[in-house]
Amino acid sequence: MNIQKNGQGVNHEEIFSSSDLRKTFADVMALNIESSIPSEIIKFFKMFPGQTLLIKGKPGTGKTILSFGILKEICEKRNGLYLSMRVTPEKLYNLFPWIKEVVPERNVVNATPKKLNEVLESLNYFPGQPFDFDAALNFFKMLYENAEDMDNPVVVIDSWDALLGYLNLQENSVSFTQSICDFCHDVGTHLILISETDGPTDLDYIVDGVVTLLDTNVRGEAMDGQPYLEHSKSRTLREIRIDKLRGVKRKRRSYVFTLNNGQFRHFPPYDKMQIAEIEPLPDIDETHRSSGIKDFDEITGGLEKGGLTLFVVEHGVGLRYVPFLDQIAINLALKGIGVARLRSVGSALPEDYELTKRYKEIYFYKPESWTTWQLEKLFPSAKEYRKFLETIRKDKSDLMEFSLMEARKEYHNFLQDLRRKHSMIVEFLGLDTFEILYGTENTLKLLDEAIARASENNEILIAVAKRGMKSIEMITQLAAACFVFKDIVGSLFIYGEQPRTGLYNISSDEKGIHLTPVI
Amino acid sequence: MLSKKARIIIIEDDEDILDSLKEILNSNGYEVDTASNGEEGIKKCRSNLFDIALLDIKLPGIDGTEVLGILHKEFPEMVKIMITGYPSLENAVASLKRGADAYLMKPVNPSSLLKIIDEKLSEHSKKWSRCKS
Repeated sequence: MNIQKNGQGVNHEEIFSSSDLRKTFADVMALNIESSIPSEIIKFFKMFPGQTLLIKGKPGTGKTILSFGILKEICEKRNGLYLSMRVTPEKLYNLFPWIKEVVPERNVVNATPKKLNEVLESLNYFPGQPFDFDAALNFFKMLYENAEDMDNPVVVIDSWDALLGYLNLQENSVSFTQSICDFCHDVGTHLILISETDGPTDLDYIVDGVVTLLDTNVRGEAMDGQPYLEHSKSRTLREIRIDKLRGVKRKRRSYVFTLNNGQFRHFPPYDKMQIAEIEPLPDIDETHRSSGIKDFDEITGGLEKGGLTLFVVEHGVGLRYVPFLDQIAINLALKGIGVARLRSVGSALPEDYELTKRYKEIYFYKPESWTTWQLEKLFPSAKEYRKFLETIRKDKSDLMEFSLMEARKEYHNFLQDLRRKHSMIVEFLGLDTFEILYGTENTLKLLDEAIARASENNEILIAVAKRGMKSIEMITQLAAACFVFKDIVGSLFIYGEQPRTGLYNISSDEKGIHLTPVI
Repeated sequence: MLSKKARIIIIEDDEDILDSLKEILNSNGYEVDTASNGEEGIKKCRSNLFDIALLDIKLPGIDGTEVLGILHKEFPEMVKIMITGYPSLENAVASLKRGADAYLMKPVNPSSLLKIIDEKLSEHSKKWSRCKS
């Protein structure tokens, strides 16, 4: 292993030759925004040599996996070096076989207390003695004596607390840490320290960067008078908080991440859901249709025929949920099933036109009784309109009732037309449109009718409700299955209330929509 | 002003109302033609160019809202104003759905009629000039 001390001051010209500098900037510019690690962290390491990062978090929050994830992103020539105080190298390789790509077997240093004491004894170090720069250099050299030769290694010490404990250095932790960090700055070696706490520490001021991994919960919405249910509805949420990254502008203070398949993957803000050309997925079985989203089918077992599948849209989701429903509609259309869609309020997209042009089986229905509310514009003044209402002896509630009857009649005609063209019809209902037009009670009546149709025809029924709707609690009670779209720190997630599922991130690419569990 | 030179057709079966409307509009500079039923009205619209149609809802033969539907389909740029002595929610909604621009109850207030003609003509001229450009 080649660690060279450059003297007391860092020779920046040596470290940053013009070609290196160009390369560094090119690397920074070429950062892949889809990287599994937040791009700010990668940028932090690519910015200067000798950066020190502290990863904090309670046990089980994913600190080790994150450190390996960072090594994977920034180590180009298998120059990762991992000093393990907690887990044996064998176990690490078993748990994370992919780390072989970045950390050769010899470079996972088994830093047991025995080994550490041997090193200290050979340094003639006695407890309480201040740890100076040269001692730190020798300490590292001896620890890594068996590691492979490599230039500019990236060193991970897992964990720093354990190291200080084994060395009985808690009293001198600040000077020891400072020496180690100074040493890494001077030799241009990146250092990642892992700490078992998620609270503030003295180390926070010494290192160049601090990130904290948090294991929190995402809670379901409490129903009125049933706050105890809220706790039972909590789901695991993993969050990485970027406390400090010297010299790098944070895009966000925190991101949600997962440790799915033993790999760290964060979820950057995502607002460009794609509608892909998909291959139709066959029905799951006689009682369940496929959603057209493979991951969703695997999690839920598909969409149940004869009942209502409800999607609740939480505040902040916007229209990002629409392509999810589009993919369900496309899958049905590809199998020749007619899809009758009554969009939610405000969710008519320019893509609707493309969708209906491309898939002849998809039809959008606009409730004509909106026209009742537009009547006023036919009159020269509000006074004339009032006079008209007085003449016909109608008030607003009569108008609503009239609208409802008209809409119901027209919607039934619309469905009848579709039945002439397709032997099977699936309805997609934006229930907020119903509630705004016809009120809470009528929404439930119309939904009840639609459920009865689905049951009679043994067909699936999809509905969307928005958080804030007055009828949402009752609607939830009518659903055979209920899923919730939720925005968490800018990313879109879904979870099942019924059946109960964990939290899944929603993303899309040219192959369609994908769900990644937060575990 | 565009509205003063506009050509208007009145389709109305009540002769007294027809005459009084014609007089109001003529005296305000509009060129006016008349028809006493729907068929005649449609025929005249097909052979002459009108900027506005004033349509009674209750007509002998084809109903006024049906005439409205036909005229709206064939002459979408024409302003269509419905007039009725029998206002109802059904015929108001039908008028709206079939493309009416305004709905007036009898007896028609002359100043309201002139005001709405003026407004609708200028709205339409803006709309259609945008469409053409």
